[in-house]
Amino acid sequence: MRHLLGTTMLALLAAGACNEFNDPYYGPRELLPPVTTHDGLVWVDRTHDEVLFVLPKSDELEVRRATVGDERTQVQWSAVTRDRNSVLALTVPASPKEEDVDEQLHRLAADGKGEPVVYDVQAPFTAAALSPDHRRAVLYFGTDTGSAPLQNANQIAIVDLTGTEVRNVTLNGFGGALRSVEFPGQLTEGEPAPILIGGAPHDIVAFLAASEVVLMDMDDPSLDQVAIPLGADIGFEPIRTLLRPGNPLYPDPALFVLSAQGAEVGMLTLLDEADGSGFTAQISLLPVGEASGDLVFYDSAAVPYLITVGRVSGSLVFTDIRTQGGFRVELGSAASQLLLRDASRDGVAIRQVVAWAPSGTMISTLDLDGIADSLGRKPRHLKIETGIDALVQLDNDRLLIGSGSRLYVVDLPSEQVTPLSSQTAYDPTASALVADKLLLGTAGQPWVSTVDLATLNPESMLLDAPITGFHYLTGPKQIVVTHDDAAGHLTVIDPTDPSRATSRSHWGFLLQGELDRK
Amino acid sequence: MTTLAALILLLTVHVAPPAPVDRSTTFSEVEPTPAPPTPMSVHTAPTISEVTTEDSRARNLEALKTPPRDPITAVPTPMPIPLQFPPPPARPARPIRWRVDIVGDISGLLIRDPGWLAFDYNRRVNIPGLTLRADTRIGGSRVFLGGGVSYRNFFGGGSLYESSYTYSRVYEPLLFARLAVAAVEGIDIFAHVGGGPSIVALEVDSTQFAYQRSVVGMLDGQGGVAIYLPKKWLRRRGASRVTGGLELAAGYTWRGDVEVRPPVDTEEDPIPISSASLGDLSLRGFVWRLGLFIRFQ
Repeated sequence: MRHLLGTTMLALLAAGACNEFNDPYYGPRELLPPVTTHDGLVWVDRTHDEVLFVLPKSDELEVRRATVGDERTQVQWSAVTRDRNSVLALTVPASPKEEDVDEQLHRLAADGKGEPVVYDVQAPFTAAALSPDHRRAVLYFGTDTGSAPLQNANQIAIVDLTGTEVRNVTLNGFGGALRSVEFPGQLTEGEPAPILIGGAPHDIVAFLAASEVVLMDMDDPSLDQVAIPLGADIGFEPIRTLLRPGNPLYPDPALFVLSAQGAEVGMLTLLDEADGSGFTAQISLLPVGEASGDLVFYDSAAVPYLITVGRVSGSLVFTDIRTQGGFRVELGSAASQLLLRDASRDGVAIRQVVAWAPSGTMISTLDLDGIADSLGRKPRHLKIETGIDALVQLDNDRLLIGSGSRLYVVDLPSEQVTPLSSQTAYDPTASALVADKLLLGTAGQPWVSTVDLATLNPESMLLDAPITGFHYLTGPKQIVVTHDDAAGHLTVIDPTDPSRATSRSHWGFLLQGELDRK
Repeated sequence: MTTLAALILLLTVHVAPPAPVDRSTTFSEVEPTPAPPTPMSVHTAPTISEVTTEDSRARNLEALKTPPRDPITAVPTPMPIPLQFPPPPARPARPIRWRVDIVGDISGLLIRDPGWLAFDYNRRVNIPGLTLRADTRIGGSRVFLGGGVSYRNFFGGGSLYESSYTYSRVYEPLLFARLAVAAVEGIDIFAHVGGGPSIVALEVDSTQFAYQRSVVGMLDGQGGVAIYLPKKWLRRRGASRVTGGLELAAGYTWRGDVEVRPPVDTEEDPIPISSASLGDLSLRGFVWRLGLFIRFQ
């Protein structure tokens, strides 16, 4: 009996000593911040190599999962396409010891259905530029240092978002490291905008490197790249481009390049190559008097103008791109940013330029219909009493300005500025305009506020938890605010009737089905 | 282990050394008749008739004629009287017809469902329990049939990804039938089958607090061996009514699946909130059990 008892106790002790080494819930879970798609929010679960699609329905929340990669890979970043119909996720080797694992970009449908499209992109790119026509993504390293011990700063991948093709290319420049990628010819969202050069269409992407710009036709990979040095000796640092298509006033398309410093704007006139090998660029530097903060182009009845804004003087500089002659319009207030809008004067549609500067206290407007006449160069001003922290263009006629604990709704046609006071600062970028209702939900606050832009009457709705993210779903036309909770907590709000009674909260969706994980 | 040792010590402290002639006793053994007590002498005072001299007789007669005086008395010194225990009455042997056990036990459950690890850091769960059971001999055989009731509960605490903390508690009343075979007196081979409700309370605590209580069915089947002190080792031998021992059993416990969808605990007048289903939890698995019992028979 003693032997039996001893054996039993030993067995029990051994069972008690069995620790759990395969706990699937052990350790922190790595979730990338959510991205907003057409239909919902998407989280990337790096711990489980999964993408979680959280789709609000009428009264429910649908959660779907899709696998990206495997245990040998890790999702480096995720992004949503500009049309919000797809989610991109780049997988890289989970460890440097995984030598036979390639970098891949996964494109998943926003509803989580179907198989993802996988692109072999060959490098652990850190940034993606998405074309406004929704057709392509360009992956590059940008200013970040990637995860690879040695990387080619000018290596890029052009991904066809409508198909399965990917082009892995190294820029053929003059040695400058790539900093940003722009699609200067695509001025209308969702619409292909090929630039006609010598009658031939080209879909141009501009790669901005130190002191140079490299142009490439994304439609025709066989064409040569066009590398343009912009003057390292004068410290030309390209930071922004703008492409003006050709028209009867100036028949050749021109690419304007804004420099971070210097009193010139680069103008690259794009010309057809005689041998049919593509296009080339004719370089000229437009003197604009001082370093510019922004640029737009405007065609008057007879003159193709480039309009720049001087960062120091806050004046608008109009330059005839044919003659490089021009004039200056003093705004009388700080300005470094520009936008163009349609306006109406006496029933006639005109173009109007709006200028402003971060931290400035004025918004200046200038009608462009009479700009050729010096008498017509009369800017008008709207005072923003507490200064501009951030500006959001809600639509053609309205601006939303954040300024400390104040918000300003600016109605440009009526030149009305309406201050809205709050106890805490509002973030104007966390907003959505639905019909005439402006909805605001700033992180850290438990309020969702609504401003009826017709009456400018604000109302606020108290949530049950502070906001961490504000999202507008264009598909179901719902506002979704997320709250800080590792299990997942969000509130769905009807933007047409925002109230506690019509809202629904959901909890635990990030853990949905976790107990069934084997 | 301390409890086990204490109980064994308690049960064996009254054990009489077995007489050599008792090795072949059975369940209905008759205790030996105790030996008669040893006779002891009684001291008595002398009587008047024992005085024989004439003088003394005359003095006695004179004394009888004279009126009596108050007697002079002395406090007698009490005589020590030896203590004497009465012999224990002879009790008849009691055949074992029924048995009632009170059992305290500890079980170990190995839960197969990895989902349990969301509520505890270990798949092996310790389950304390308390049981009251009874059985009766079937005819004159060595087979006993009976049943009983148990109550047991266990709990766990863990986390989901170190961010949502979890807590679980399971309460289980159990009704069972038991079949035991007394191979020899002191060793029972037994099996029991039972069932009952399993009340499962679960909590998930992130920035919100969610709690649910579910009731699912539970079936339990175990077999094992019980080792206890036979009557012949007890002081009263065949007449003993109380014994004790330990039992070891193993088996399987089945519990229905619990859908984990704990409602969020809200304050007054909340925005309507719904919870997602975290999945199903299956708290079933192999079980072993070690128990100590006191038996009335």
